[in-house]
Amino acid sequence: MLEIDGLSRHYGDVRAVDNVTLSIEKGAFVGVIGRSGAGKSTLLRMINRLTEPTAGAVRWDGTAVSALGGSGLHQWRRRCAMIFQQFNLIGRLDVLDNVLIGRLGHTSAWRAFPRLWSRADREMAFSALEMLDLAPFASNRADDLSGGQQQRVAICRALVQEPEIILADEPVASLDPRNAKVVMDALARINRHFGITVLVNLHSLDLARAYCGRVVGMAQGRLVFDGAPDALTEAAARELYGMEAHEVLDADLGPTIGGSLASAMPAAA
Amino acid sequence: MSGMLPAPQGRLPEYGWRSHGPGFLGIGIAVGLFVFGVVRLDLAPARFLSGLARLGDIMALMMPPSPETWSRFLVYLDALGQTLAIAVLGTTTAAVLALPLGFLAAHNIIANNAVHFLSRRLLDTVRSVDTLIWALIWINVVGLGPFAGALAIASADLCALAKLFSEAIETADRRPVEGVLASGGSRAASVRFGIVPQILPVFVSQVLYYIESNTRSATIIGIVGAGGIGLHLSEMIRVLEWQQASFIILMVLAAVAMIDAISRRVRRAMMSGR
Repeated sequence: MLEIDGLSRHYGDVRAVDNVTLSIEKGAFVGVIGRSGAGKSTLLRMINRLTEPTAGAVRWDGTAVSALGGSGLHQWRRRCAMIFQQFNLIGRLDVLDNVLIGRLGHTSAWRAFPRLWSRADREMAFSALEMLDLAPFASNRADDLSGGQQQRVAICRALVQEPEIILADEPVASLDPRNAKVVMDALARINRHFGITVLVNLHSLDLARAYCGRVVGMAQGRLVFDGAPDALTEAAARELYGMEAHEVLDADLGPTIGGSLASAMPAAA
Repeated sequence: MSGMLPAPQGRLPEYGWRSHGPGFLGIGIAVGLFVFGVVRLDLAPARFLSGLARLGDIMALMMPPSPETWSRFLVYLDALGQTLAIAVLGTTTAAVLALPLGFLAAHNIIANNAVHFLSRRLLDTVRSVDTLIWALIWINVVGLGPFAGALAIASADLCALAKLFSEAIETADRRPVEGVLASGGSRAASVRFGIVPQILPVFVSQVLYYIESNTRSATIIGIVGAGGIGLHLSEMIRVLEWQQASFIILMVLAAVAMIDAISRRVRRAMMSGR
């Protein structure tokens, strides 16, 4: 279980994340929603310590990961994979090597640095690519792939870490609706198939409704909503998105209020 | 025009010292410096004009370029090989040593202002000493010959390359680095996989460019006794063997053109492949 206890991050007078307390059960698929600048990214980045908290603690199965350092921190990041909005692949390396980066936590430096990955690791990486229909691109350079394909490579990289939890920071914000669906489906599949906990930042209410079993809403760094997606009424969404509400609500709460993705994703439907 | 627009009501900006002064002053200073140089060095245009005829004579004497005998040609070929070896050895030594220095001087690797400032100033200072001066120093340390030449090139380019690398490292995209760190990689792994693939093309193309440019430098430092074909060139000019001198110049030209062609191919392969 992931426990976040009084977690804060201040930048000068700005409270990017302000005293957030939250616990997430294993195997859950939880969406974090809110307008841009609400602190969703900072919250996720504090969980794997790419950003250091100003105050508060993060625990995983009772271990205080916010106190880890050195190899303990590397091991935690190995168990807690991350998917980024901009994919964060190594453009000049091929797709298979990019997936194998996920094996760094399992590989000694003297084998990893000259890219002498074991056969078992390479088979594992290739199998992950096959699972997400990327096997034909294994030898392509990562930056030759489309955005949707690159994000699926990033998911493969996360998968071969053999993580217990995956943090996805706006994984579909740079993608068109069709690719967004493919990537979200992949995350949902991993969640169901391997029981990996998924915590995903989403801007779109519609996606949150379609995929998440539980939705957490943030505004101005604070937790303002926590519950089932059905409980997210128009009033609650309006409070969550403030000035941006009309953009989100017109598209999401209008004709598609029943949760259908048909109007948002004509190509996928 | 005068009929179309009404007379202006406000105050027209005046022409004057403030608007035109700095420009005229700058041109005046440049002309003054040039005249001072000519007077100070006692340069007479007449000497240049009469010398022009002499330059024509020398050009005529250079034709046709020829090594005179086959054995001389083989000697020059051997010396040219030495010059190329000096250039390649000196540049690769500089490049290998410059890489760690470049990381040390890169602000995103060593986030310490004092280290950053000191390493940058040090690189700038050492960088300003020319290859020829390094050659004269190393000749006194290790004696005449190609060893001094290779050392001179290595010392002169070490800091220039280190500065180039550190700038390439600083402009590298941060996102792959975060990708590696978030996968459980160490800081060393984030540099190896996040930064090195990004700077590798810069590294290779700069090293190739420096090898090409250093083939010319190695010729020059040969003249002061640091090995290679330069010594033969200065000797032939000294004894007025103009045909042989021009032949040596053509040999250096051909060697540089060859290196240029090879490095262009390697660069292109680097850009498309990985």
